[in-house]
Amino acid sequence: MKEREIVIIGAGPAGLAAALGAKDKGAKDILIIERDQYLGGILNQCIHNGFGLHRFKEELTGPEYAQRYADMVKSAGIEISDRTFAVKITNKKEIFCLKPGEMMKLKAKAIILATGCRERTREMIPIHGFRPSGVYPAGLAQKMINIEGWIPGEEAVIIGSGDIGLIMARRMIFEGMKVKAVIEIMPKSRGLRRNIRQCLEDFSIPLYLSHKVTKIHGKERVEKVSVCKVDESFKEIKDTSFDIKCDTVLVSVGLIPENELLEAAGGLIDKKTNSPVCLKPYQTSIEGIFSCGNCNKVYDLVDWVSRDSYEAGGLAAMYANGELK
Amino acid sequence: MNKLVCIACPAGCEMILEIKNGKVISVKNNKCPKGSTYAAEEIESPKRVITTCVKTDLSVKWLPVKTSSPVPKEKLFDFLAEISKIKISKPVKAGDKIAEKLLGFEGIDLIAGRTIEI
Repeated sequence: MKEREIVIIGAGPAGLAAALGAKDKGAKDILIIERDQYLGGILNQCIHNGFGLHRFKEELTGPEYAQRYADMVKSAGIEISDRTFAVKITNKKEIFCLKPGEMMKLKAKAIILATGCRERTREMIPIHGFRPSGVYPAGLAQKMINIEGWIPGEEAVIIGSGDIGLIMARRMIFEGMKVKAVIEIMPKSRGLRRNIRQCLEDFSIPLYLSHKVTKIHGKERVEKVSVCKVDESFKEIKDTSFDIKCDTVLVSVGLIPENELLEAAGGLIDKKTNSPVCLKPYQTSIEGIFSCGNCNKVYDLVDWVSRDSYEAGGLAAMYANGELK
Repeated sequence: MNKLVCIACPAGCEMILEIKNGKVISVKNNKCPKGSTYAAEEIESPKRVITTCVKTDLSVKWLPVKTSSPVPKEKLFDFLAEISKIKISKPVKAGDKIAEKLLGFEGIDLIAGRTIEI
């Protein structure tokens, strides 16, 4: 089993910034493991702008922000193993990975988890109906359009008014789709005001606050959704129901930190947020296993992911060389 | 009195404008000077930066792109139609200009968002 100083799992914004932080605190031997063949993680599908205003003092798109970090990591000479999937880690800081044609076993002085988060799905919010095709988590639809070039349907309704849902409303309009409505159960949107303005109002897409989708109709393919008004305790208000015809439903109802590796290694996970329990900054309940970025807590801005993950990387480097008490 | 949400940055200031004869004469509630610039432009001739993708023959199938400066809002879909005709067949670097003077507009170029080497 090969011994390494620092192993980082994930080459999204958190993993890349953590690697630079570790390097700057003196780590000599850093390896980043990434399952994709590109660096930058989910930033690559976030083709809209608005990234980097704090970190780079200019407005960048997601891929541009990713490219800057990928370039910095490459010029720092940090080793990357791409197309490599971390299957298991242990509390002895062993890492088991699969890569094409090979099973890799490593042991690290410190591990940094930078595995990001995943989307909450339709199944996590109660909606009646069958399971027709045409229902997508918003981030998956984003990947379909921006990475694969597939158009998910013709007429869409978006459930939830988080930023990903808002951004996708505009994106689908740009690709020639109709966006019939955004349905938000809360009395206020969780999304940024500027996204409501430039993604919905610019295209006269109605935003229904204090409303919920009660049923998705259609057996093979989505045919329509039923929507109704809700009161302060989210109970349906009688006689307010109406239908919206559509063939596509995007679900944008939040993100959950991805912590299966840590959980299987015996690390403590907060059941409410799915974040790791950290008693020391960025350090999980297993000594020497660190966590940063969206798998630590879900962030609104990538700029803060970079800032915090850089710090986490530095702490992991100090731990690895025995400076962190 | 008119309200306007600033889209210049994620802070999204809710600005209060005073408008006379189609011109902004005062802006309040903005945290930075970008707000007053944006407000004047939004009322007189609104503009938006376009971000989208163009098809490639390379290892990455779609290249993310943006316009180098904002385009007139009423021409958004004309620009999108023009951009959709572009195809990339040679490697590009992030920041490369892949088309110039879109629809003949001086200073509105199309910029590659990532590097594609092969």
